[in-house]
Amino acid sequence: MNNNTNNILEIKNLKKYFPIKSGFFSKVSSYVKAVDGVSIDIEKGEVLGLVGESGCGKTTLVNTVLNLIEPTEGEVIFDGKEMFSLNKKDLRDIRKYIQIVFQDPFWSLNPRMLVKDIIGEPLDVQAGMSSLEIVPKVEELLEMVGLSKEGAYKYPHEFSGGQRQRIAIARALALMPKLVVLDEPTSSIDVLSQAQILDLLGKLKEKFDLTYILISHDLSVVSYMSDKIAVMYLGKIVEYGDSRKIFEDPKHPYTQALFAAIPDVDTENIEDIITLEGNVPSAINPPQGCRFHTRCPKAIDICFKQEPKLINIDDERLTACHILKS
Amino acid sequence: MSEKPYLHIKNLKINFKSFEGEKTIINIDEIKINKGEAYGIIGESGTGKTVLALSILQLLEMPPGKIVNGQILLEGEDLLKKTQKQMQREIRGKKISMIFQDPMSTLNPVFTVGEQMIKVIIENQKLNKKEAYRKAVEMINIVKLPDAERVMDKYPHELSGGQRQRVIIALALSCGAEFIIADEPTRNLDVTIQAGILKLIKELQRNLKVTVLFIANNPGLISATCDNAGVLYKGEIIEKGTTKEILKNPQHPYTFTLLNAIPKNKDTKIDLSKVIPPNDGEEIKEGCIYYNRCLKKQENCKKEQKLINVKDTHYVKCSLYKEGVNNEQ
Ligand SMILES: Nc1ncnc2c1ncn2[C@@H]1O[C@H](COP(=O)(O)OP(=O)(O)OP(=O)(O)O)[C@@H](O)[C@H]1O
Ligand SMILES: Nc1ncnc2c1ncn2[C@@H]1O[C@H](COP(=O)(O)OP(=O)(O)OP(=O)(O)O)[C@@H](O)[C@H]1O
Ligand code: SF4
Ligand code: SF4
Ligand SMILES: [Mg+2]
Ligand SMILES: [Mg+2]
Repeated sequence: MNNNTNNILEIKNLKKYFPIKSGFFSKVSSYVKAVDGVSIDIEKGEVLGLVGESGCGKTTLVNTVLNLIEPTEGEVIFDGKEMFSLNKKDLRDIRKYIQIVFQDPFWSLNPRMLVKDIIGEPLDVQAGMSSLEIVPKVEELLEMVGLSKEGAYKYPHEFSGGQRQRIAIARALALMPKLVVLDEPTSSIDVLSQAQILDLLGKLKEKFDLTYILISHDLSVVSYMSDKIAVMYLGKIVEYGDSRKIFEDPKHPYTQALFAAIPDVDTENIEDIITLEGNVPSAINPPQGCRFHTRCPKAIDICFKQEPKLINIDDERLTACHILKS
Repeated sequence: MSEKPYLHIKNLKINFKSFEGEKTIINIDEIKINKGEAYGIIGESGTGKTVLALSILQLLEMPPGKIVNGQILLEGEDLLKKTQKQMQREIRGKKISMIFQDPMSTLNPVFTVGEQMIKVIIENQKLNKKEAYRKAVEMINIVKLPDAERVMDKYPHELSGGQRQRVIIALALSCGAEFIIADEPTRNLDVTIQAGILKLIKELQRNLKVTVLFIANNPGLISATCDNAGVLYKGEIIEKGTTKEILKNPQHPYTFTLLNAIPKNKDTKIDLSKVIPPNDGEEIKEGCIYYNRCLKKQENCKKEQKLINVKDTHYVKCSLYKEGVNNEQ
């Protein structure tokens, strides 16, 4: 991935190892390699879908990018600026351009705060607006996400799950961010509310020229929203590229297995679901060679010894697998 | 199709009492499940799927729950007429086993898998400890957990979520359950683990002729596993039939809406005007349960609705339908 001024975000060889302490002196005995050398570029206006089984490092990756947790190694360039070398003030300035919407808005919204204060908080704290300016802005944001402005004087519990997710989106958009991370934005709401939220996210993206990183277990949601997708396994990207192409024709054995495991309404026979043997290995001691070799139906000798590099196999696709060549 | 259903739920109405008064949570005209089939219940969160499952086993907390009327016939015998003692002695964990969303609600954290299985087996069958051990190992093999003997020595917390669900299925099988109620058994599992559990449940139904009631909020899970299914909306079965009919040719406006709201891919935009019913707030006391969100409502809908047979085994609870007429949407 080369330098491109159209990139809003460039992640370079990012690593996050969580230390595991044990023993009397709480000595660090080993590390959870949650994110282990991820490089990826995101263009302005793009939606990047991030998929992979639970624990593969999706949330850790975005949290590290957002600087919510300290990186172990690597670089993140946001809008041309190297984030990890910024001083506190510059970092705070830049942070308002990157916002996050979490899975369950019930837990991310303070239950004792009025909606007006929840949405108004970043306007107050980060933008230093006066309370006179904040109220009309909050009302405008509420209407933008399809809620009535009377909602400003209610508490989160007075709203349904889908409505709470709208409040979380309004808050995330309050400071006019450039990049919004959506970590499982619809997995705690029903299908009808989900359709509305996805529609809203699509419209807001167009209107405000937003870039999204979307994390979801629901592949249909990812397929619906994403321009590009990145498939992660045990802290690494195994396949990356054009979303349509990958959904139509996944190349990496792990992507193939992941897609074949998920039934949808067109899956008429249980035989159409393919299962992957075994569990995800521990991220503390990931397998030698290709990390997927313990479960890969296509593994060959070299897979046990040598780690495959993420390489271009065609114009629009990168994979990390010994049996895939350009 | 005149065979007697294995499980026959008739006019079941369950209310819950609260400060605001009594509320009907389940109001089911009829569900028929044949012996040895896998039957699916599709429904969104809060529609009463778990309440229905618990009521079959008389595990519903009463109060606040209250059975207003109805019958739950298991091979012709009304389970609702049985005492808690009879349920415990004859039905629960014997004939019918339930698999919950959270496996830890069934497993005891302080005993090993082996201890729990052997206890259940000895309670249910006239076997000595050694025979019970062998039987337990056999069941763990059936649910495809590798290293059965090592699994026997493990505590539940030492197993993954998928492994725990398998242990629970092994437990159900080891006491000879012929009917398994699976209430979103894969909700908290990863998709690759989910696939294995779905296959296992299907195999038990096909090969061991276990009858299965499979509850899910994701229609895709029902599609792959169940022969027949019903759609639950606010406690009412509003459509039922073969899984294929329901998913490929949905008739009730709600089912149609639900299926069309599921995203497919980038090139198939969800048509919100077809999908999203604005809740116009007009609540009606009687009549159709879907009235206030329905895009097709008419005057007739304010009358009480009945399940109408539109084709073969396909039933719809909606005033747009007449017996034997299948409207294409
Ligand atoms: N604060 C932490 N301390 C130690 N280990 C952690 C911490 N946070 C995450 N991990 C570990 O890092 C790995 C990646 O976790 P992460 O939450 O990023 O996964 P994820 O892909 O977001 O999973 P999910 O789909 O379940 O949300 C896991 O093995 C997890 O247990
Ligand atoms: N003990 C209880 N007291 C009062 N109301 C209850 C009780 N248990 C359930 N309910 C209500 O009954 C309705 C149906 O709940 P139920 O748990 O059966 O839904 P569900 O379809 O299983 O949802 P989910 O998919 O979220 O598991 C809900 O509106 C719930 O609030
Ligand atoms: S490198 Fe080898 S083990 Fe890894 S995915 Fe490719 S074939 Fe499978
Ligand atoms: S009965 Fe009327 S309100 Fe109910 S689903 Fe049918 S058309 Fe809609
Ligand atoms: Mg996560
Ligand atoms: Mg439930």
